[in-house]
Amino acid sequence: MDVLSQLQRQLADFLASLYREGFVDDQFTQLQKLQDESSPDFVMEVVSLFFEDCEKLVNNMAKVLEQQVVDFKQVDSHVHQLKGSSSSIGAARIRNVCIAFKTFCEAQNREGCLRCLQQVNHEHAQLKANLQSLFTLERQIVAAGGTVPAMQ
Amino acid sequence: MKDVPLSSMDGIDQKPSASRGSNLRGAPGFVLLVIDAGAGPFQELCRVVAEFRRDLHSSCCKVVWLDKPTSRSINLRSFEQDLIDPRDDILLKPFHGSRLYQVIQLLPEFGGHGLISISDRGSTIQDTGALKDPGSSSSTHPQSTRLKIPSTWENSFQQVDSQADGNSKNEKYRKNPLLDDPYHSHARSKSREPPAERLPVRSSEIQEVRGNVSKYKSLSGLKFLVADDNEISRIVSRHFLTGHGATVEVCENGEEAFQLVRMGLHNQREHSHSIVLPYDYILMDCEMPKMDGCEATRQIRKEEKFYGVHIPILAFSADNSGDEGLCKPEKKVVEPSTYKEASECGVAEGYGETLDLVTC
Repeated sequence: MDVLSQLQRQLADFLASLYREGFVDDQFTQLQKLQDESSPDFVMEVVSLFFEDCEKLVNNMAKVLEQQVVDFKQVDSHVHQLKGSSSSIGAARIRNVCIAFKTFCEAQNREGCLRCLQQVNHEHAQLKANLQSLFTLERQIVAAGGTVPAMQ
Repeated sequence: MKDVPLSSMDGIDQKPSASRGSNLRGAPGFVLLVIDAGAGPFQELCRVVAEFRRDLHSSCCKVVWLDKPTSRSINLRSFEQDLIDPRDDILLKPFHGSRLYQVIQLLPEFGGHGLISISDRGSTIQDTGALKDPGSSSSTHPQSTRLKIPSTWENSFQQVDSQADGNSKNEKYRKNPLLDDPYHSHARSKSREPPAERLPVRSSEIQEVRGNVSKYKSLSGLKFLVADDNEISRIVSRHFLTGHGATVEVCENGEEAFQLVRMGLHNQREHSHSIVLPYDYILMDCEMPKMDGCEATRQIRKEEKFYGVHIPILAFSADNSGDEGLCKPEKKVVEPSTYKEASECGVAEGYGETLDLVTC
């Protein structure tokens, strides 16, 4: 098998595993389908935006949770934002943490919130690493003269 | 010339294409008349047309006669045919889809050579059978007749080509002027008014018959308003919709959405013909600051009553808690097939109604 086919197979397998393990969901697939000649870097750009946003929200939430008296409404509003963003790009695991996170906010449970925050951080780092690998693979494929396949 | 009550069908007036041509660059003098053959006594119609032609002198004039298949005004091989100029064409109603497409292609602005017949003399353009009658699906949009044309033609009709905006490689999303300034984005919608009368045409029908439509896009010609307080969500929605050929405006909360619709409807007053909806669909996030999706929908519905219109509102929510007080939750990005199905089955209307029923 030539280099290009190997790379493409690698990419397909990698994508399938990300999907299987719940890192990304169908929404992410849809985003990839949207990518074309007129916007070849769309997914990468919007994913970068998401990670920036995520970091900002996590920092804000950490500050609020550190306070003597925690304003859970504020935390909840941040979680809601994060939930929306992660849904939009198909970051399934992060979105799922947000669901649990919201429950703890409503219950005004600081410990529970802090745990979720930690989880968000963890998932953020993992997803970032995974998607970076994905984009690297895609670049290699394009460099080898191929086009990026979308996951079926 | 004696006045003959020529009927207008579906909002077409019998305007010579010279007036359409004034909006387009350097069109030669060519007049296209589309006439309902059943609008009056056929001989009388022919007489008026003949007089009109005489008065035109130098300009070319072509007539396309529209005839009802079930009760023909023009019978083949009878005296009526003799009255018709050999360069004229006869089309069977309904005048939509591929038939409309072919007639438009007669116009010089769209590559036509005017006097060349659509079909051979003596035959008429038949229904290919693959065409769907838009009558049923467009009946839910009594006010929203529009010409859906391939996206390559949009510039001729002075539409804002927001596809160019959405796909600009150098665009930084955060600096997108439309995101920062939703009211500015409304000002652009004013210039979108096409000059010609419009017909309910589904681009899918054109596609079925004319395989050479370039880059078929399922949401071509549709105008969306996306109301969402989440920036990334807005970016994704906008990209998704424009990627499928739609024109998109965005805003950040229910208040802005309401204002955009209100102004969009209000600015119609200048036009004497039927209302052009500012948007074909509104994607409304349920939870937004200032004014949420449900309240915005309520306000929009109140405003629409003055105009007797109804824009389908598709609700979505990041929160799928299923609280019956909230809007019907959707995926963050809705498949284009949903819109198509929604519009064809009138389900989009149902979404709007559901919103009304649940919350208002």
